[in-house]
Amino acid sequence: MGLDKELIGATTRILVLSALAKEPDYGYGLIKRINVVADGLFEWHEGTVYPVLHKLEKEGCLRTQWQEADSGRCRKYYYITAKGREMLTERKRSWRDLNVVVGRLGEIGHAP
Amino acid sequence: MLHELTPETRKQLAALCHSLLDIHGLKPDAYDELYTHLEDKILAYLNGEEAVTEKDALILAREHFGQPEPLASQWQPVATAGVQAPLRKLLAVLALGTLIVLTAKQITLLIMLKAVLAWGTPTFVRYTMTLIDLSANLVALTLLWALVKRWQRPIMENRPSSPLYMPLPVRIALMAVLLAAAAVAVRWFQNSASEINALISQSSGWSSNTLRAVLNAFPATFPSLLLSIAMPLIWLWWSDNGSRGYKRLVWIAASYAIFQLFFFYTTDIITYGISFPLNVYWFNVGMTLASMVGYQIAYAAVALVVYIMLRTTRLAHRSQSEPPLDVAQDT
Repeated sequence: MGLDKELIGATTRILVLSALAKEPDYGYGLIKRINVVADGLFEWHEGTVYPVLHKLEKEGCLRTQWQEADSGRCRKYYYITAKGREMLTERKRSWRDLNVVVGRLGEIGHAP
Repeated sequence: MLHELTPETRKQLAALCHSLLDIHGLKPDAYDELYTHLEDKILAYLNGEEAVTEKDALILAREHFGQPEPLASQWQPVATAGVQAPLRKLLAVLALGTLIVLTAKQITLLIMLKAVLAWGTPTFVRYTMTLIDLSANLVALTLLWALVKRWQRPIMENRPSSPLYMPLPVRIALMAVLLAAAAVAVRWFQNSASEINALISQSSGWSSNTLRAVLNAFPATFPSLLLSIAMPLIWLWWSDNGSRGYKRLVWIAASYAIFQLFFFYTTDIITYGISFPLNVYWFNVGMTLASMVGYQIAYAAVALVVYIMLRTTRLAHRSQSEPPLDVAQDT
């Protein structure tokens, strides 16, 4: 069963930053990696990811560098910056807080 | 074995990226990223790393099939037999419509004749009547066109029939017989009309005598009316062998007009000459020709109405049956 599009849209930044914090990647590689991890829960399309990458780069959360990929071709790699890591930490904390609230509501809902 | 892009594909890819940059006013840096992304995507498809989804397959199938719009117009002449209106019903509509409007025209002419005879000279009367006759034909055709348009939907919803097709020599022979009969009928009507004219002009009362004149005129006018209506329709019926392309229908209409003009005029002059040998002079010939041209234009136009109607029927069907063109990739 797929996730709600609105929810996926709201979590795009945290997913991108999380993936790049683990390993720098170029656009196509990043999309493929996230889609594999998502395992059919959702599927990212190119048009959705590139604007987010460019926006994060503009905000200073990512930096780019053209370098040779495993295929031997030159690709634009995205690296997370210190500002990006800060943002990721902040977002993760917000996500956890939200998760706690949802969990509490769930407990209330299941209370005898 | 891993695929590599050919120089031709790279060229097309570069052109696509350049055009995207131009259209959206993107920075040159975006070009390289776009290019490399599309290159990765294509190679992934070719190497089997990226699975082809049903949506991708649909886009590919449509792309390989060709552009739907031009293809539909190419298919139209050969693949729309099942959606055309049945000619039998089409002709029935046209025959009924023509009968109604021509009868109305005849009544109008008889009523107007009384008024014209009251203040005109014989020559003036003939010119006026010809003018009225031609105008009435135009009105009749307009009404007919409106009628056909009104009935278009019920007709196009019917299944097609296989009309009777006859070889050209047989059609010509039969039409010649019909036209000769029509010419005699018209002459008979004209003789009757002379008596009716005299009746109207001598009458003192307006309503009763006009009605009487109309009633008297009907037995005389009906055969010629029916023949006039039947001929273009029969011609269409015989000419229709299932293929109703643009050229064929125009040819049918034009050939009918030329054919009937020639035969009707000739037979009319011959029969007039037999009936009134002393009265065949150029004025009569000219007036008869003018009158006949008017009639033939009118009846040829009936044939063209059929063509226009078939054309609009096909177009209407095409727009209904065409699948939606929404193949935009969901990005």
